[in-house]
Amino acid sequence: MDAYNILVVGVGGQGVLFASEAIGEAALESGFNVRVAEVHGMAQRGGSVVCNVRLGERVHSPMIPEGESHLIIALEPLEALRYVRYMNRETLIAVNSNAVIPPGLIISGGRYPSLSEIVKGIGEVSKNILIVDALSKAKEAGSPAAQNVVMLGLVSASGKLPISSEILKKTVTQLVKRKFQDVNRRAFEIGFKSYMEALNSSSLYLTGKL
Amino acid sequence: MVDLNALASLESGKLLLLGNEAIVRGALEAGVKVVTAYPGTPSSEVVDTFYRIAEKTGVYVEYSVNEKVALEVAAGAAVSGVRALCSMKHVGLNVASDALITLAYTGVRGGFLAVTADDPSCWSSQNEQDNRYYARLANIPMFEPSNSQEAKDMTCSALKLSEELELPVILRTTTRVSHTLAPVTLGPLEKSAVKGVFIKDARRFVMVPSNALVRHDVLLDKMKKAEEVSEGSEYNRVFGEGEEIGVIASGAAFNYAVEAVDKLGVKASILKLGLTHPLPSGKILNFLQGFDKVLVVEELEPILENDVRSIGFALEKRPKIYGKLTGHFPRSKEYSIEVVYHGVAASLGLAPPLEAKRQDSTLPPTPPRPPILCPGCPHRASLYAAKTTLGKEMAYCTDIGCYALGVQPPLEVGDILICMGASLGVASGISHALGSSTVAIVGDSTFFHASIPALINAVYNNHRIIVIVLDNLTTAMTGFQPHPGVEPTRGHRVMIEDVAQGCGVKYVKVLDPMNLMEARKALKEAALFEGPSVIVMRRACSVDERRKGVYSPPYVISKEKCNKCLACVKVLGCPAFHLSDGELKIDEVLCSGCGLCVYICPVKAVEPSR
Repeated sequence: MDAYNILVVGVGGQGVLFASEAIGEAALESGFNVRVAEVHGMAQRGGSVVCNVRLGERVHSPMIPEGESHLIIALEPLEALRYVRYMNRETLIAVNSNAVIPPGLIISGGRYPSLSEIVKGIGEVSKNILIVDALSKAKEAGSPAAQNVVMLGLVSASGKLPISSEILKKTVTQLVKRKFQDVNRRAFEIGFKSYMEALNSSSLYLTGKL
Repeated sequence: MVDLNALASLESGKLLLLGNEAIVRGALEAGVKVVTAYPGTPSSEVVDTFYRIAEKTGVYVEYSVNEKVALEVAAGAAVSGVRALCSMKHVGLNVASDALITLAYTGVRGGFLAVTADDPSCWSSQNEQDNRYYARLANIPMFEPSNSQEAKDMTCSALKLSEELELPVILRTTTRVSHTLAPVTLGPLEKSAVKGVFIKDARRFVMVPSNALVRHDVLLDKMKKAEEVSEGSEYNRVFGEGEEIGVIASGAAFNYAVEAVDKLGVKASILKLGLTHPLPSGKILNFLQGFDKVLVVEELEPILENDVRSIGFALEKRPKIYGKLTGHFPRSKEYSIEVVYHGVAASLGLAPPLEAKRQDSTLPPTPPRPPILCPGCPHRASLYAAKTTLGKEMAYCTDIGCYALGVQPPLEVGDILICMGASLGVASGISHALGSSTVAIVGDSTFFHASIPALINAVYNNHRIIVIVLDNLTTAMTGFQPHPGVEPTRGHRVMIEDVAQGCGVKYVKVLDPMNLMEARKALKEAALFEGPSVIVMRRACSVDERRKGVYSPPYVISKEKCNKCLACVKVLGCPAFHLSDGELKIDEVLCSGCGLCVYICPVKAVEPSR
């Protein structure tokens, strides 16, 4: 199979790296060749973070060419907008609706675009957008830090990821410390269940269907 | 994170590894016994991973005070017959180069590998220098992996080649190799000597001129042997049988080249070079003969391209060589499939591939999200105290570390930044030129790394520099590595204030920057002091504290008292504050409870949550 390309974006500290590594490990377990290009260093300090994940036999470069993402997991809405050039008409874009406003914007008096503006903008490229309030789902699971795992559960339920949900859930659980395993398993399951809900609520913004 | 147990002990199987973790595995397979480093992105996970498995594997692992010392310690082990590795980021090799270049003359007895991680596109660096020049400058072999599997294999091969030729060897990675996870098939773990023996041989190891001249010729002979190895190496081989165009590529650029020719449907043969110094001239010459057009695909400098041109000059019928020198590829920033795709298409005279034009006009503008100081970062308090006490007009010479982020608004403290430890020297020069006090801001690890000679210089020459050492008790920027100023697991802690006093500084103060009154008092005194002064602003990194399980209750904003003047955000820029639906709030998860904003709020609206 040609490369299946997943872009994971968010803000430093949201767990972009963890989510990407989990997909990578699950892909390896599923028998794929895989590349996960991480961002370290400065970008972890509240900056914009992006990870490229590519699965498939013909994967050489770790970097996804522009316009060729099959799936984008955005842990923050503004970050989804920032990477719009990696999207195409078929791209499935999963967006956590919980905004993290850059302090620089408050200082400069700049405006953070509204969720509907962001979704409308992205929607001009692809109509396959799922929106979920991952923060409240993560709190429901027991920790606001598990927003990234909620998003993994959500995209897993879409059936677009070429990795089985069982393997992904198992990998996520195995990758965290024992005391966090229950929270993360719950976060994945809640995310998974929220797929239908997201499909319905997302249609508020969109005219297209998955 | 990788399963360290598996990494350290499996004898076969497959693991998903970062390039940096794969280097660790390769070194273990080659039986490495001494590992030293100074951390730096994108190299840090090499030493961090080794540190975590040190006990289990019996490998001696050391966070050295700087790269030169790291290289020297590893060299000491290697000349005693113990296999050693030292690791650093690209600019680190500048620091270590003095030792490396002469070590090439003495050579080693056990395998010696210097790992250097280049950073095209400056993802977290002050420049994008191409360290392939160092292999040429030092005249030693260099390996360049393009993925994790090769990083593992080449580390193992490089250590063995080093021991065989008794020469130091460099493994050069780039960000996209260091920080890409990819599957690695493991091999057996080799046993090697833990204890070494230093066999005296002054003519070989004491590089006084008469000995050095002899050793230079020995080095040149060794490199002749290395060239034979390069000619026969499996790391230098041809992929594909296409006749339309020949491609020569190395490192991360190889990956882009493969995908670009695949995407364009071009019938190409690709000569992949992995052992890139010395180059396999014979193989390259042979490859050039088959084509009318040859493309050289390499990131940064046109090093390979120049070499290929000079090798090809021996041919009667020479192919046209395309690359940076013909303007088909850029000389700065890392490559992408797009860049290589355009370069291949242009050199073949194909119409440039059509860009997918998109109507972006209705997209809302995307505000930038630069990295900033973390919530509760003690540097915020230190920089705030300095700026408000010494004034905006003062020249602030800053240095390499988290505090460099202080240049961002709203703090905007930092007027010049060059390299590790340069703040003190540059401040001395500026102070001399201006005839007034100048500030040098330096982190704790950076202080030990390269500041002490400049401090001694300032004392001896009576430079009026106010040295603010931001001591957060860790090397935070690179991932919380230890340094001589923190409680060690072996040896003794070295106090910055003692060092300063030992260097002859007459004004030395240690304080907690959260105590703004005390900080301001010290800064005022230092500004009036005739000669260099040192203020150690000591408070643990807020992120490191959390990692260690130390929590302080967050603060909240009293809705009644807050008049939304936004002074807290506009003065401090703490990311724990956010404005939603016109209401200012403190994020309970992000707030570290440092309480700095309590001092700032003019209406006393910031209150403890309990």
